[in-house]
Amino acid sequence: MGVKRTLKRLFQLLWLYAKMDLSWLLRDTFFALLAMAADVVGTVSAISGVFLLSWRFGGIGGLNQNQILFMLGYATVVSGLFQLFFTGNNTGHFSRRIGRGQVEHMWIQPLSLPMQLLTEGFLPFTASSNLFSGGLIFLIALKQLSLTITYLWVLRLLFSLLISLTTIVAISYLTSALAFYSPVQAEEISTYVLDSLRHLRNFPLNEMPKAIQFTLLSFIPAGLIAWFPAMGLLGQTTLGFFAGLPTVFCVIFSLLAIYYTRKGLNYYVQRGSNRYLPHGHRR
Amino acid sequence: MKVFLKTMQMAYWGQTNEGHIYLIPRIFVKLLYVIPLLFLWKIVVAQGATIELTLPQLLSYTYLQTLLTDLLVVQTEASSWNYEGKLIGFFTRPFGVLRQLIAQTMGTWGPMLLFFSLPMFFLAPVFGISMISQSPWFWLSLLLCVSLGFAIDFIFVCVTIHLRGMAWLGYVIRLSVAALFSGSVIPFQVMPAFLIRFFQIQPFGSLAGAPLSLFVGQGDPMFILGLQIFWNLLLWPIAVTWFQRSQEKMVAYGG
Amino acid sequence: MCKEDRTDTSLTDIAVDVNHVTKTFLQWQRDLAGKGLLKGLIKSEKKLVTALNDISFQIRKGEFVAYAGPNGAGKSTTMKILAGMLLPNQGNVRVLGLSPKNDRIALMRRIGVLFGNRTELWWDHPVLQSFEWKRVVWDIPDKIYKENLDLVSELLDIKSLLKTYVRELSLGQRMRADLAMLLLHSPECILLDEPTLGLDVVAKRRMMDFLKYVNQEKAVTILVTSHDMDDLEEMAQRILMISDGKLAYDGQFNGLHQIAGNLTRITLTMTSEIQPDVDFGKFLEGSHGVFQYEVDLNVQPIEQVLSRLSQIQGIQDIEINRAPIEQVIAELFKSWR
Repeated sequence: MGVKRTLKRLFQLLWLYAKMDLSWLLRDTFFALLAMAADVVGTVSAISGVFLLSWRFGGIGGLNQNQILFMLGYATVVSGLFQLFFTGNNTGHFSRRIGRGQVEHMWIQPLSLPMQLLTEGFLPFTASSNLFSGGLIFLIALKQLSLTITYLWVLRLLFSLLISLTTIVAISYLTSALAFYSPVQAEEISTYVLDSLRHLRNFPLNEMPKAIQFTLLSFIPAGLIAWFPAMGLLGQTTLGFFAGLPTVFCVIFSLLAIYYTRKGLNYYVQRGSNRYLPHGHRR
Repeated sequence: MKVFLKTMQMAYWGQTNEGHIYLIPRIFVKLLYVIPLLFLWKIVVAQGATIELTLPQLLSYTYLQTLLTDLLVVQTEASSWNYEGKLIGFFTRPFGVLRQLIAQTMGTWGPMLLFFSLPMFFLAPVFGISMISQSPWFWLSLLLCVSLGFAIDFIFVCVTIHLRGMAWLGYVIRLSVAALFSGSVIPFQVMPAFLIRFFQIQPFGSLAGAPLSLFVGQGDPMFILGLQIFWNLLLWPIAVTWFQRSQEKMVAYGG
Repeated sequence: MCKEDRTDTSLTDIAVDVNHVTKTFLQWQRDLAGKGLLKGLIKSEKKLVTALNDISFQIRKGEFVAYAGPNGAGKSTTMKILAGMLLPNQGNVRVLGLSPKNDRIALMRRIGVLFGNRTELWWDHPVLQSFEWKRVVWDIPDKIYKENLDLVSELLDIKSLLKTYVRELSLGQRMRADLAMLLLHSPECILLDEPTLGLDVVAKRRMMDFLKYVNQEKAVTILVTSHDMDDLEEMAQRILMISDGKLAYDGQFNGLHQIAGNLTRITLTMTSEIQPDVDFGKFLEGSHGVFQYEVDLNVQPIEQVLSRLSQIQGIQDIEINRAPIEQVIAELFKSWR
């Protein structure tokens, strides 16, 4: 398909899933609102620990409370974007589809697998609460910090958010590939990994030992998802690490994810899957 | 007892049938979880912060929490099994449903306890972390914590049953609430002062935070144990009664 | 039909071409006790299972073919290979001239696949919403979508279900809705794996009538697996029987009867409850004056049987039927073991 046609299809499908999400919200409003409220509770709780610590001690590791809040707000916005695009139908937790034998449903659609995975998870109405609450936290921190916001800064922010989001998705798919080889035990591997990343990314790395900094700014990219870009946007030091580090690792993880997912899919179509659990599939 | 142990064994094998090697990612993730947190405490203390816990206490608290995560905030698969319709099968066995859930859950703890917690327990002195309990009441508190964890989990199951089986909703709420309110990640003693008492007395506070506090020699054992016993006595009857009353909805779900 | 990807297959009227396909699987094994258990901790034991063993067959366009076999014979494996969900270890497969492996997307625009124990419908949405989803994803032109929707709604009687949430449907209703959704994009070929699973008599009848209509009126090629032999015999013109991964029979249902022996059931209704003195065939069962016998007409021609019957006193009624196909096939399965 040409690029124009591909983009047209992409937006057509995103629009389709947006409409379906809205119709679910309007039909099951109580439960939808409950789900959104639960997301907000989850968001606030996830960052509360580190924030309360910074509040109690006037900051952590050289960062003041507002800088910590900025970093946490950024991290929450990234989570919000992930939820917005990749919550529906376990597109962001591919290991569940693999482990439950649901990949076969993907084979019988006349769409490429990337197209399906990029669109089926889109829930702009019911999964947007995290994005809003994260955005609010981010804006509050911005106001407190009195940063100079320029167009270039906004562009830099958007680019950083895209890189952070792509990194999370890449990590999710890279670890999900394990489920091709162990569908039962690795069914929830992406959940474990992303939950751990969600926990780790809240830590400011400023005074951590070099070994920890290096680890969390490379092959366990928790620091690259929130702390590093937040420091860049705040105009703070990134401890001598190259400014393009998040982009470099985003590309590396994406390539590895593509490679291992393809490899896993080839393995899957050779071996098949006798396991089938319907839940999570279009529910 | 035989039935209980056999069910535990089956649950253990369910986790390891494809090979113990697949435990490695989970172990790795747990290590990732604990190491930065240990250093975070060192940074906070190095800032000159005045807190009730010393650095060795903080490190022991966090280290033990990682080793005993599954026990400190119990989470069964009942909510998702209800959604899948698997829970119905439990009613066809000559064995209490709640006991089956407890047995299956405890069986799933086995692999990580054996292959992560135990080795890490012995390695703790190498990292300069003490794994000697400062209070003899720790073990009783841990037992009460596990018991309470099951009661709270069953209550959550009943909530998800009435939410038409939105297991993921219950999961999201519980994950977030339990992490903060149980004291499993951040000890209550390092929270802002006006929040400490609230965190200690609410029901989740009698989960992880209670035995971990006693382990590091913090808090009044009688107060902590008293609260745990109180919440157990209050929530277990609610859990059992509500679960029984929810049986029809549970069984009818999914057609 | 869907837009684009219309590969010219006018050179051939073969819808499905399976050519020397072999498929093997590795199955995990585990000992429960002793040395085997310990060994299993270090190195898992695996068993090689041959699901399909050098099978070949062709299905012409417009044919309605039944694909039958005992449990574990390889039916679902074949369906998955045809749908591109599995790759064979050896051999090649073409469906409508396209390779399921290399031309998956183009192929899915032209075929429909339905597994009986799985739904493609959206659980928490009304049925019509699932159909609308299909319209967009399969890029079905509005005119064709509307025509097909009207057709399937009427033939499968699902008009009253269109606004119902899928989770509220009974199994039979859900299967009808699934079948309706399958046909919305006017597929040229449909693969059905156990579509009548769990359906009651009425629902099954409706599904069968619909499939026959679609095959006869729309010339859709249909390949269906099922354990309901009577249903298959009624719907399909041809049957492929697979056993232990090998194609054991490919032909008409009549031919099956011949292979298994030309078994016929003769039911005698007598004026009294006394069993008549019959010297042909095998006595099957009898009560309240009705007695059933089984005769192999290859061994005892029908003229002989009728001549013998004419000599028996007290017969009120005679019914002569072919032995049910289920029995024929059960005998065949047994003989293949």
